[in-house]
Amino acid sequence: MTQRITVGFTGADFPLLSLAIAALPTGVPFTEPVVIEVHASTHPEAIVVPSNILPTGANPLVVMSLRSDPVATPFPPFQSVIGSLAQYPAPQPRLVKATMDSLDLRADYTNIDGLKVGGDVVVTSDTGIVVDKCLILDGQVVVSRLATTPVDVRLSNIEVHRSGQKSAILAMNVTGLKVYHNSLLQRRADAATVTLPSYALEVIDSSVDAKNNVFAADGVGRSAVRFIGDPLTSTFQHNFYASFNGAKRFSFGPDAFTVTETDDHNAWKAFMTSETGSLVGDPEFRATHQSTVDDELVLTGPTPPGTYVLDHAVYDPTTLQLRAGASFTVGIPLVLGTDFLIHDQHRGEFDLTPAGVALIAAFQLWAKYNTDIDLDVSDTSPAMAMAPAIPEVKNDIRGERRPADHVTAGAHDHAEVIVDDGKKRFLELISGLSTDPVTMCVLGKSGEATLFGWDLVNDFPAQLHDDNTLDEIFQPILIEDIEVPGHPEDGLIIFRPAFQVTEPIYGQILDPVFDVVDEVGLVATDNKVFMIKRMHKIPFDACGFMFTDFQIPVEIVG
Amino acid sequence: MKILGHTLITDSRTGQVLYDHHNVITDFGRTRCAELLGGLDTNFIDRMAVGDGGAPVGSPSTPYIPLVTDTGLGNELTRTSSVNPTIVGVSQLRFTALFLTSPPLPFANPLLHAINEVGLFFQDDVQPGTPAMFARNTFPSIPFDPADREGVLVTWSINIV
Repeated sequence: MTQRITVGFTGADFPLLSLAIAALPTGVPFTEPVVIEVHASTHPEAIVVPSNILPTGANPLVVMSLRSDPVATPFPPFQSVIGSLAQYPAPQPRLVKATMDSLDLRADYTNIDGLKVGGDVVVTSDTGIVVDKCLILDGQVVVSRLATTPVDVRLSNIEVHRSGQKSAILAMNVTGLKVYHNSLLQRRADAATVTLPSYALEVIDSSVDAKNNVFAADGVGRSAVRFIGDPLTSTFQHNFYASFNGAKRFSFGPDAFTVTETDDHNAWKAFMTSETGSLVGDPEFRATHQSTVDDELVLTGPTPPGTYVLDHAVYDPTTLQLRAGASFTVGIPLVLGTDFLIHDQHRGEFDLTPAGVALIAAFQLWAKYNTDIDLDVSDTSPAMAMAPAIPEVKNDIRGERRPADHVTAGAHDHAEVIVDDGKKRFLELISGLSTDPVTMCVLGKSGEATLFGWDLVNDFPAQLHDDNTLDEIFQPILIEDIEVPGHPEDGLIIFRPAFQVTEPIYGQILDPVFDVVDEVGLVATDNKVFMIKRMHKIPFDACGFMFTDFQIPVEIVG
Repeated sequence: MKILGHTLITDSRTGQVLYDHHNVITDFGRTRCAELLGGLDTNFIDRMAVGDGGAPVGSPSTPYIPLVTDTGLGNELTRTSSVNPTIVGVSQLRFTALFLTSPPLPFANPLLHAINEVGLFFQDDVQPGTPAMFARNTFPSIPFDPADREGVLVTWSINIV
């Protein structure tokens, strides 16, 4: 279970942040992942991972999530942050959710294009590295060695907007590199200003396991995927390849290595130059949407240490919500004097609070309840940047569409329902009365769905059709990636269906330009619907493609 | 999705309710259910067992508290694969198994012929060795001698709530 400590920071008081972090007690048994999320407007170069909060245990994890004011010029220091993580001795902290995307996709930023995340993400460690959910506006991910080296590295949910003349992901002299669920293409209304990577993925004398990715290239002489060396040592499945304006899907070299494009698992699609014009219709919410802040999370209290009361909200581990009036105890020294931003789990609210109090509050909430205080799921979280501001709607990031345009498919807490047939099927499965498990997924669109309709509030909980079916746009697809993590997450199952929109789908859409999907269903092998989830409406890019990576946990609590 | 288990034990002849309470679904059981849901495993629940290791020998009326980490019964006496699963409505699964007092069972305490625990197992459960227990329940010892009764009927309900 991830333990998340979220603090905010504004102004020129950055050194106090380090002091506040340093105030955390040493020897805290951080045996689970720790997330430190910092909202900094100035001096981000001062952000380092304090050694006293490094987790212990065999599989440590430290996440630095940096958010920066676009008005500032923050991007060079982020490399130093990455570097600071890499400097720690073994066991080296894993770099997960290196959310550089947090920097610019927040809906409360009005000038997202003014924000740049500079430099490359360079993976230098061979084992235990996961780079997940990372947005790179101008750079590449590099996993390169001088000689052939087996690595245990996963690159997932990475989106690269621009990599100039470089490849978005470069693998050189490595084997075993996992490349999952990445989107190496960005199509937006301002696509004219976006440079697509020369190669989305470049595999040089390496073997790569690439699944469920979107690879795209644009322009003559460029390729979505480039192989140097034997491509047959790599595994490519369920990827989507797109080539624009004379680009090619694949490039091979030297000539001794050739493959035929006969992989049935892959969807082949080359876009014609004439389709470029339809990018005008590519919905771009990011630049138009502004989230609203309609609540406050105010932290007050006597001089620490002491007992504090969150005036408006405190985390309730039972309901997983922030509740008003509850108290918590601060038993360690605090650093005061700096305003921090703290935002809550559901609404993404911000409020200026004394620096140390905010930090310690987050820490204490975590420590007290030993549970996930995920303060990042909000209207204003990066992944929700393109979602509409819907008052009273609590966002649930569990379902998420990462690639392409960062629309979060997650919706209201109650926006999913296990239908009666699904309940019955579950009981049948555990008792041997059925042999048809839930292995398929289908996308749907409700009758009310319109691009700017956003009337989900009236629809919750999932406004199912009377017969508990979906308006299917697609035929159900087989879910290739079903995971049961097991201990300590006993009872959890995660479905990760990946959809690919191919040309025949277009004819099934009412409006070929502005259309959406807003339902996703889990379906058993005999086509019985198990669960339906209503989502925020996802623009259906009629001129391009859609690729989704839904994670739909079904938690069984005995 | 939340599931709850419930155990009802009655006298097989008189119908007298001997025990009626919730059970504990094990961590393993929950994970296996998830696997069954997603087609990652096919070994469903199909056997039930009773035992007398659910309470201290010296305090048979004070059962141990079953844990989610339990992997089997404390002292399994007998088991059956005739559990008769039925779906009631859309949200309840019911297993029913009959345990007879005869022939005599290898009780841990020869002086006390009683049962005080019951378990529900998956198809691939092997005790000991590769346990696969879905749920367990303990209860104050129920006399389980032919002189006491013919047997007990265990009705185990799994409810989606």
